[in-house]
Amino acid sequence: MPPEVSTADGLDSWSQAGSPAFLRSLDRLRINVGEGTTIHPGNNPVPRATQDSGLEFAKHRPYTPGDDLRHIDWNALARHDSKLVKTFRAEREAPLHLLVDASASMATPASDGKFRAAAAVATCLAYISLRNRDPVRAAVFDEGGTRPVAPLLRHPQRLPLLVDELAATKPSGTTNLTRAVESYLHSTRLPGVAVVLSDFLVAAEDYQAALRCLLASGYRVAALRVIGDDERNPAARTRRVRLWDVESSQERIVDLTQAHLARYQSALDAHIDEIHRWCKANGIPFCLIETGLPPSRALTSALPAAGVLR
Amino acid sequence: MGVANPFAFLLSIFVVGLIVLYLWERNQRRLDIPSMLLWHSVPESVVRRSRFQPDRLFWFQLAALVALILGLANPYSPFASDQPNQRTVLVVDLSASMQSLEGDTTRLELARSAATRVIKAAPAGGEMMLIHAARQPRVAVGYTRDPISVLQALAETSATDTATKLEPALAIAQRAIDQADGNTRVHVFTDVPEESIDRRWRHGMTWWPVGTSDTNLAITGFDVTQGVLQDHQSATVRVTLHNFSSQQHHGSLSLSIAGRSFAQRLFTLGAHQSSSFGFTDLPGAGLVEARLTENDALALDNRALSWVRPWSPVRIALLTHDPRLAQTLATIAEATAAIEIDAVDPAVPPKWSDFDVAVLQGESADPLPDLPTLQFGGGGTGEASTERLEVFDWQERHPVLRGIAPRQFRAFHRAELGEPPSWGEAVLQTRNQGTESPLLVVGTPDRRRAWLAIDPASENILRTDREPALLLVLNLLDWLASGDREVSVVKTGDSVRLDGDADSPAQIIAPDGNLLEVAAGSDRGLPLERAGVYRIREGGRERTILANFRDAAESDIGRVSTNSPKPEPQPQATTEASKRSGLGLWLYLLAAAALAAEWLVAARMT
Repeated sequence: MPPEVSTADGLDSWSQAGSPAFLRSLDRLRINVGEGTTIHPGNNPVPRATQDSGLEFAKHRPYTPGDDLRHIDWNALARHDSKLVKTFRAEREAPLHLLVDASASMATPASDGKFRAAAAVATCLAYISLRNRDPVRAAVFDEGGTRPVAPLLRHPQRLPLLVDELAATKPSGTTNLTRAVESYLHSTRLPGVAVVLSDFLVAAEDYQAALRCLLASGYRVAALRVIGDDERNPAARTRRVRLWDVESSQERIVDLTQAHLARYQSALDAHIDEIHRWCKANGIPFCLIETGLPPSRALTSALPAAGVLR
Repeated sequence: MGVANPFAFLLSIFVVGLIVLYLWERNQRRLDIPSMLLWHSVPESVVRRSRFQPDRLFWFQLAALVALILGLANPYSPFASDQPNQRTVLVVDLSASMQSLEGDTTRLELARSAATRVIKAAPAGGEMMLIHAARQPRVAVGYTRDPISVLQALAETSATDTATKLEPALAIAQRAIDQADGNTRVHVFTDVPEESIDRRWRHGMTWWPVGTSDTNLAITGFDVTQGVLQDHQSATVRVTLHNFSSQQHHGSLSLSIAGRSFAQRLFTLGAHQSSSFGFTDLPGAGLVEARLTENDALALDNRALSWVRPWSPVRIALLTHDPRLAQTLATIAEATAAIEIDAVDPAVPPKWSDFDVAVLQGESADPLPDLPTLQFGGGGTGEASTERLEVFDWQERHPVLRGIAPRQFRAFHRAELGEPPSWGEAVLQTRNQGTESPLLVVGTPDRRRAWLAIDPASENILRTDREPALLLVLNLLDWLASGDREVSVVKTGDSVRLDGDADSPAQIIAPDGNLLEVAAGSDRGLPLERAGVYRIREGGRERTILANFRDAAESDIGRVSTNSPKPEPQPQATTEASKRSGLGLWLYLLAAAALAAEWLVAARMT
């Protein structure tokens, strides 16, 4: 199961998650960019990790067959009689790519405020990244693909641009994660950390293809599932209701009996478990963002526990 | 198949309400969800969006509702009884004697209990009719198959203060027997012995005698004698008592006037004996009441009411040029302290409010004063004068003829029969040489005036052999001056005619305090069924009627029947445990079953 936040204290309102006081409380956090996965010097897209070439020496590591002989530290071989390979820190920055779901489902149920919570988390992650001198690129996506909400941000003082753009965004349309990710990848050539904030209410094939696409493009990916209390426990004043899918406009008349609600909740749990299991299998940090809980807990507990922050 | 309570079908509007509720629920409750993805595991309801297709719960609810409505309507089947079309007619005596006490209860209660047993024992599905017998018969409940309504009407009955007239009610019941096909049973609940009724009236009926007590003392006479223009001190009261029981009784008679007791007499009366008591020197005028303080079976005849007129001098304005008439009336005034006469010049009208009555002769005043007026005919012209009067018709009960025997009308000798007025009714009618003409014309109580054809002077009413004429003149003056103080004393069961304009409404305050409105244009006869004080307001005038129950035959409550008491009615085999003859109970059970089924289905669905 994904890590969850169980207590509530600190800032209790998602609407104030972008305030300076709250953001300052996040200064100690870092984006967990992970380790490099490639041996090609100069092409490692993950910054801040050790690699075989660069300007800043990082450490030695034992030689393994297949390593380029040019990278062997001959001085160390002469001194210690063991083949060691020198590694260096990359010179490149690690951009943070925020992909925020702006489809109609993020505004439903309205009382959950899922998009508002996703925007707040995106703001906070952007602040953390900018505080560590890593640029931030944010985009929202809906049925029409992705749309950048701000230019590439390089300084925390530009953060209000992102906040204002997200606040002005009205969720609408349907969700197509694969198309949205493909569209985004065409618009940028700066791989980095990609954080996808969505309710992932799409077919498993869709979100799996989208996340695979990001992984294949050299991104370190994190998936944040936003969920609210009313989505977990839908309630109505009458027993019989006409369900209305805000994205597909499909209708379905059901009786909200206890048994039927239990079936729905079981399906919801299975859906979340499936995402979590798949993400875990593919090395993707996954975290539930509960809109009914305080944002401080999500950012200081849930996200570090999931490996998105450290 | 019929229904006992068709108004219950008005509740069918709730069926429409139920359907509307379902439609409203279907159309109004929309729940927005982010995705249908997670709801595919929840089965879709059977409700279709295109048209009204209710679920099982709806049909159970509808069944319960319809069963409840039908249960209230209480349908019945004519085939529910083994004795189809059996009819039961109940005749309940509501006369005054049914108020008599029998131990701790009354005869009416005994009759009611017996009738209730008969109703409960009647075959299910049979028709019933309830007839009230009192002063007039009344069908309280027409033929119905709903015994509940008959029981309710029976519980609401109350005895009247009038005598028994059983035969008209029995005639109605007899007619029901004659019209039916032999399945009609008539039950009569009364304290009148069966053998006292003519056989042709009680043929084929079941008699339910109630009451055995004969303990009753009654005021059988209560007369107040007060002469014309006399005050209360000159009035006398005479009370006659009768012991209708077969035992000697002691008691006390008290009199009160205007609510203040002023005399009491202790007495002992032997079985079936009468006694009379006189009272004089009354302390005042007003309502005088006699009351027996005796705990006998019938309290109704232990009280009697009458009236002592208050005294005040009658101020008469005399408008005449005839010195003989003035002299005659002056002589009467000198002999009677209650009359004050002032001669008034017709050419100079006085202040009429200083007078009570105006007396004039012929056309002495034009226009007539706005006062009660006594107008003597003729005027001395003698054109139509006659000395051979023959009174052949009169209104015996009119107050102006009080104390005058019809044979005394022959004392009138002279009259001047001019043109009679058209504003009143003839109280005395005379015939002279084959020609009929009114001798005395009297107006209505709300417009009091009188026209008398005789000339008091020429008739010489002061002569001893003309006493009836003198008495008639004094009665006329008394009636004219009485005005709004009029009080009538009648017996219960009598009808009083409303005197006001038929186009104006009247208000009657009954002895029990109930207000009765008589609409304009309706029947102007008022039957008095309760003993006590009636106050009638009509045309801006109020009058009082004192109704006394005084009927020796009705007060004689010891009516022992030679027939043995009737056996208790046995319930019929087809009688249901419920008092309802219809299918109401089964429908209520069906509604309960439908509700229970709906609850079970709903519980399983949830």
